[in-house]
Amino acid sequence: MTRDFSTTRFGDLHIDDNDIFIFNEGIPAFEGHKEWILIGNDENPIKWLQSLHDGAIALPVIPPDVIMNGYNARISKQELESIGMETPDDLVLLLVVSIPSSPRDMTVNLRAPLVIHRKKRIGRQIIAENEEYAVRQRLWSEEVEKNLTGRRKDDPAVHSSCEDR
Amino acid sequence: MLVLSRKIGEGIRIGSDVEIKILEIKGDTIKIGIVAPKDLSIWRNELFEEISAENLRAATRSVSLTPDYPWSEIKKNQ
Repeated sequence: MTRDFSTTRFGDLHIDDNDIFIFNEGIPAFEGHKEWILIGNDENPIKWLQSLHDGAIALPVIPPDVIMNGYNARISKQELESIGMETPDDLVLLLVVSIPSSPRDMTVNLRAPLVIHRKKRIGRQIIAENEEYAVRQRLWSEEVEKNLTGRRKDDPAVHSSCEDR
Repeated sequence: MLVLSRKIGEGIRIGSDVEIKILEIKGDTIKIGIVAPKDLSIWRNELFEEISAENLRAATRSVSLTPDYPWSEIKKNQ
């Protein structure tokens, strides 16, 4: 089955039901939103989890390995079984990112990954036990800034912060 | 909401395996002890609220990012 759906960010979508992810409890702040679809392309590691309940709601998400090595969310087995996990290989983790008008101010939620069963297409945002993981972890630091300006003065990502305003 | 009054040392039970005890009251701070199965998540309200607020901010305020964002530099510094 397919359906048509209008979104604010991506225009009119033609959606195959097989591509839909089910979040039975919704996602915090969007509790009633059970159906979501992942939109993105290969060039940009940021994907968008588009709500099929409200065309204006889309969450930017990113695989943890794009931003750090060894991301290791500790989550209880019972919570993982709640989305039908049998082995850890069943799971895909995505982190919610927040991208204000300046990309330098981008933050990522390390504490509560979206955990998705890749075959059953069931997902849930689960709070990891890792106290060291922040809900609002800044990605850009002075160190990044220094390395970028030292090497590449015309880095487009640095300039795009002005264009986005 | 069910509202119960308890004194120090008293507690309540939720179901057969969750017990909540009032341990200490000091000014406006109450120390609570919770006995529950290990695989049951117990979190402070603020953490839940923080995550909810962050999702709302991410979904409603985010701009699209150019593909040339320096991910490799970011990753090196995390």
